[in-house]
Amino acid sequence: MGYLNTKGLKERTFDAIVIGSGISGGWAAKEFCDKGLNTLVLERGRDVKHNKDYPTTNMYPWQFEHRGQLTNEIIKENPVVSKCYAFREDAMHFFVKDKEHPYVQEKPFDWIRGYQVGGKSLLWARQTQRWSDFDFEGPARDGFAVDWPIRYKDLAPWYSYVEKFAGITGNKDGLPQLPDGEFLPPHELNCVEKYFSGKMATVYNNSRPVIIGRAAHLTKPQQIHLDQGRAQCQSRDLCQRGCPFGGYFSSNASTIPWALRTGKLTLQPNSTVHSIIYDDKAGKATGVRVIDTVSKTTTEYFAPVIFVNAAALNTNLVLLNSTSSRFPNGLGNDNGLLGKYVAFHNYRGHVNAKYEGFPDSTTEGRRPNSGYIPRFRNLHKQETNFLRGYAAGFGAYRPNAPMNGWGTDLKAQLDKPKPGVWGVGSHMMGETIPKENSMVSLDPNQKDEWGMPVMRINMFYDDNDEKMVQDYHEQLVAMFEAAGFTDISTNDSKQAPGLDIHEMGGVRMGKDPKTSLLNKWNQLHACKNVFVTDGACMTSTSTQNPSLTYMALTARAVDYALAEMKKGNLK
Amino acid sequence: MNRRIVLKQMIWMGAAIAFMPSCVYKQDKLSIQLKRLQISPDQEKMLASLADEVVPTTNTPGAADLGLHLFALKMADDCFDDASLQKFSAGLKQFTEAKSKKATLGLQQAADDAALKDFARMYKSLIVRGYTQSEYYMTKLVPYQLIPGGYKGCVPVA
Repeated sequence: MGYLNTKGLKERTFDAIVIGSGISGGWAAKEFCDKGLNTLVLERGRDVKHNKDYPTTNMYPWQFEHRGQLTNEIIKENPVVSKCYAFREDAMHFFVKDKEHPYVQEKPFDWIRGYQVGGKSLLWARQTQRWSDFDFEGPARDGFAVDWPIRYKDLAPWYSYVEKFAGITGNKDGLPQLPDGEFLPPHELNCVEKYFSGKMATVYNNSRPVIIGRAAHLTKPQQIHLDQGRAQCQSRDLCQRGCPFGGYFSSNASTIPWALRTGKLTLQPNSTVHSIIYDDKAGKATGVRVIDTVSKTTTEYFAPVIFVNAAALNTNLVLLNSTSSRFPNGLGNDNGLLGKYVAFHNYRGHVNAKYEGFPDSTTEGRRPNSGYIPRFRNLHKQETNFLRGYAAGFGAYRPNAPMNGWGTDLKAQLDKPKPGVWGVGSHMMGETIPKENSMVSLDPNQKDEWGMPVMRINMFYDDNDEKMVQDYHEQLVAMFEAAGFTDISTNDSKQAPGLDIHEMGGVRMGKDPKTSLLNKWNQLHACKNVFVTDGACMTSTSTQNPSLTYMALTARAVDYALAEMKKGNLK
Repeated sequence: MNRRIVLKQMIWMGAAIAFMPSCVYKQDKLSIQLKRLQISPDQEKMLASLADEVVPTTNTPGAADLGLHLFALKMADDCFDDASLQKFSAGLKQFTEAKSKKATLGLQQAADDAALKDFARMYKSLIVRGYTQSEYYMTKLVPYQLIPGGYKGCVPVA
C-alpha cells in the first residue's frame, strides 16, 4: 500500500478520531468538540451539507419524471437496495447502489447503506423509544447471548441528555416497559387509532397499550433547537429527501453543523478507514489508516482516543481488518467472537383490515409518525413457546373511495374524491436472538476497488423467529377482531434480514472479556482507547428502533473517555 | 361559452402544450422517444383518443389536453417490468388489430373482452394516474400541500 503522508505529522494528529458521521458518529463529534477537543471525523462517502445538498427537497410530485417511481432499469441494477421503502426517485441519491459496494451473501441479506456525511441519519424512520430493564435484563433472564453490563439507570440520564438536544416528540404514557423521555408535544392519534387504543385498554385490561410513536421531530422547538438552526417540523412527511426546516434530527441538520461551529471539528469526507493502527510497544491504538476514495492513496492519522461509528457491520469490518502481531484476528479479538452474535429485527409480519366506523370523520395534513404498540409478549414472564417478543406499528388512514367507470362519470369521481372506508394496518418489529453462527467475516480473497476486504454476511431467521411471526399474526388478528375491524388479512413478507436496517452486534458489550468485546463503557476490553458506540456494540436487539440508544451510549462513552483522559488513563 | 371559461381554458391549454414535447404535431413521427416499447405513429394517435375515453375533455381539461397518453407511454416504457411491458405491448397489438376490423371499438368495450381486458385496464390505470398526478390536478382540483404545517387526527368530512 502506498502511503502518502503529505501533511506533516502535526497536521495529522488530533485529540480524538471518530470513524463515521452517521447518527452515533455525529454525536461523538459534537460531544468531543463541545469539550474543546480537536476532533477528526472520517466519512467514507461524499459531503452532504444541510439544505445545500438536498436536491429534491422542495419538488412537487409532478416534478419527478416518474412521479417518484423507480424505473425498471434501476430496479434491475439494484435488486437489493430497490427493496427498501425509501429508495425511490426522490431519495435514491442518498443510498449505496448495489454495484458500488458489493458484499457476499452467505445467506440472503439486504444490506441497506447510506455512504455520505450524515449516513443513514438522513434516511431513518425517526422512531425513538427508550429501552427499559425489561430489555436490558432480557439475555440474563431468558438465557441467551450474555448479560448486558448496564441497566436502565445507567443510560436514563443520557437518554434525557440526547433527547433534549435532538428533540423528541412523544406522550408521557407512564409505561414501565417503555420509559417516558424528555418529550416535545406529541403527535395526535387519529379517531380510529384512539378508538382502537381505548378498546384494547378495555379488552386487555391495559396490558396492551396503543400509543402515539415517539419520534425525532420538533413539534415545538426549544431554544436549544433554534440554536442549531432548526425550526418547527412542518409535517411534510418527506423526510428522506432531507428537511429544509431541520424538522427531524439528522447529523446533517444538528450535530455536525453544531460541532463545526465550535471550530474544533475537521470533517473529512471521501475517507474510508482501512484499519486502526495498534502499537505493540505502547499497548494501545495510535491512529487510523485512511484510504482517500478518490485518489486511492493512504494516509495515517493519529489521536489518543478513537471512536468507531462506521455503522454496525462496517464497524465489524474495520476492526476485523485491524490486524497486528498482538491482534492477528482483528483488534480486541482475543476471544474470537468479533463479528459473531450479530442480529437484527424481524419485520416480516403485517396485518391489514378495514373499519366501517367513523364515516363522518377524516384526517387533515400529514403526520411523520404513527401509532405504536410496545412489546406485550413474554414481558413479565415467559408465556409462549418462543423467547422474547415484538413491538408493532399501528396506523389508520382514510383513503379515497374506489373510483369506477369511464369518461365523464369517472372524471367527476376523480375531480371530487369521496372518502372511502377507513383502513388500518400494523407491522411487527420482533427481537431476534443473537447466535454465534449468525456472523459477519472478511472474505479471504475478494477485495473492493479500494483494496478493502469484501464483507461476508451470514444472518438468518431461526425457529424462534418463525414462531414469533405466527404469534404476531394470531395476536393482532384477535385484537383487530375485538375492535370490530373487518376484511382482516395477514401477510408474511418473508423479507430477508437486513431490510429492517436494524442490524446489530458483532462487537458486543459484556462484563467478561472472555465472552464479550466491549466493557460497560463501550471500550474494547483489550484496547482501552478504542470505543464502539454504534449498532455493533449491541448485546441483544430488543424491539425498539435502536438509534436513540446508540446516541445515548455515545454521549455516555464520550463523557467517560473525557474523564479517563483527564485522569491520564487514555493518552 | 362565456369569456371567463374561455380564458380558463386558454390557461389550461397553455399548461398542456408546455407539457408536450415540441414535436407532437409532426406527421408520421412519434412525439416521444421510447426505449423498449415499439409503437407506430398511428398507434400513438389511437392511444391519444383512447385516453380521452378514460378522462374526456369536458368544460375542464381531459387526457388529450394534458397529453396523458404520452405520460402513459413513458411510464410503461421506463417503469414496467419486462413481463408487464410484454403484456402491454401484446395487448396493444391485439387491440390495434381488433380495431382495424371494427373501427368503433373503444377501451371501455375492450375492458369487457377476455382477450383485451388486461391491456384496457393497464392503459386506463396509467391514464388515471397521469391525470391525478398532473400539475393541473394537483394544483387546481385536489391541491397537493408541500408544507401542510400539521396534522389533525379527527376532522369532519367536508
